[in-house]
Amino acid sequence: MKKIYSFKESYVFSNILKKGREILEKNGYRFLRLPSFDTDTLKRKFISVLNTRDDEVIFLRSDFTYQIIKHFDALSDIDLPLRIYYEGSLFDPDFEDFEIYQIGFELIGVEDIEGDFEIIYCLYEIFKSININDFILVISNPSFIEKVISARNIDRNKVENLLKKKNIGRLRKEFGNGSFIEKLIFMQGKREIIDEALCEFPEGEEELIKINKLIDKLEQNNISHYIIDLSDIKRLPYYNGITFEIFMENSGYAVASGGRYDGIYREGIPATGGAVYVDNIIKLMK
Amino acid sequence: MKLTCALPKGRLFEESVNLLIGKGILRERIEEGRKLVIEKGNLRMILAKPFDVPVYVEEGVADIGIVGRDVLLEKKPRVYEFGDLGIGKCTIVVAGKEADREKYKTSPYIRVATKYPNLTKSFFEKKNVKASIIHLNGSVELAPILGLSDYIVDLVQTGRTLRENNLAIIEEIGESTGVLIGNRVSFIAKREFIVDIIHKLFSI
Repeated sequence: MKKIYSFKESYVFSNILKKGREILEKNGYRFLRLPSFDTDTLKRKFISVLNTRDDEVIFLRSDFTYQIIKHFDALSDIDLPLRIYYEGSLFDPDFEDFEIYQIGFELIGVEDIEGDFEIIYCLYEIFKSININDFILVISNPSFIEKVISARNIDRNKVENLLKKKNIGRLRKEFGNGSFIEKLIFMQGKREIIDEALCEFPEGEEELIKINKLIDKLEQNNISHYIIDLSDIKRLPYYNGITFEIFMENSGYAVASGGRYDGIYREGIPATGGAVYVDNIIKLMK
Repeated sequence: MKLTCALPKGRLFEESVNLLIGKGILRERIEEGRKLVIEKGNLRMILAKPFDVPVYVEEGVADIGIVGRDVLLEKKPRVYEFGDLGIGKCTIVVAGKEADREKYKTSPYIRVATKYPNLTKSFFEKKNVKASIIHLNGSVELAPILGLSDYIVDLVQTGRTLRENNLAIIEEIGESTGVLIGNRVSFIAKREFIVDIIHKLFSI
């Protein structure tokens, strides 16, 4: 079970939330209070609770996005763009302590690079405000890899786990030395990796151009500690554009992440979002 | 820049060192002794208990590590698994007394002692067999002999320890060999170094 934080840790925890709220509100995001319980979930794994009052099974929320979809569905008239933020614990049996606290935000109605940049820049401001400057921003576009795989008529399920685990040993056995999958696994770097990918995988041009434009925008705003990882496949099934994760050195888990999921709220409506994993930051600040 | 590699003490240690030397990654032999951190050139090696290797790698204390597949199946760490190294080949098995072989097929409920509670739970759940798992840290073979459990789930290399304790393999669960694992952030931050090691270890 989750340990109780010390006063010092709790102070750091509340400070991250305070700074996060300040920055998001300054950028026009409005707080939305979301319930801890759900009657449905997008995720396969969840923690259920028997509601003894009504004799029904309910779930501890495992994803905020599903709750926001329901909120959005209930609104008949919406002024776009819509900027929302929320905070609280997510519950999942796979989490180390069953729950993880996050402050998350969604930008609904802003297309492509403008939206992606805004989300990343808000995260950048939040991390700067809590004096974390040595993070690594990893930018991906899982739609790129989807296009590369579908252009080659390969069983996606067969390669998905091998790509996720970067299992080069098995991939070499299956596809031989120097296969396209092997090239994909090692596609990480700065902007030059985009040129390399364009030569190798022209079918992914549209997705690569999106990354290139985002990098232009990040560099114009002095964000240079990024790495492009073209080997990343979808972490969540609804991602369909640029995704990103923020890591601190000497750790193995993200302290923030997010991505684009156009059309999830309503057909034709672009959307992107991000979240800061407050518990993971506390763990790494020790 | 230094690269930290976690190596498992015990069964896999000797073969891991031989492999690293054979592939030109490690220049000199290192011995398993009391020293737990050994530096050789730009490689820093942490000698850890097999079950702790993925913990060091997941938490970023080590950039890469070598660990048995059995440990990965048990702990399911959030690390990259670059591939099987083909060393330390063993089999994960269900074993028990020869006299209990038939009971294994017909019993709806069994007691199983093991060092691998998660792996064992998931194996029997898939078979729809209700198993009470007894978590032990070593000498698992004692459990059926002394009546603590009906069966054990353990790693077997030659089967000699089982035979010496009058136990037999009842069912094979899977194969386990040494696997090269890597930290997700190190793969980005120390990419050149790690990619070079991967190429050396998995060249066909």
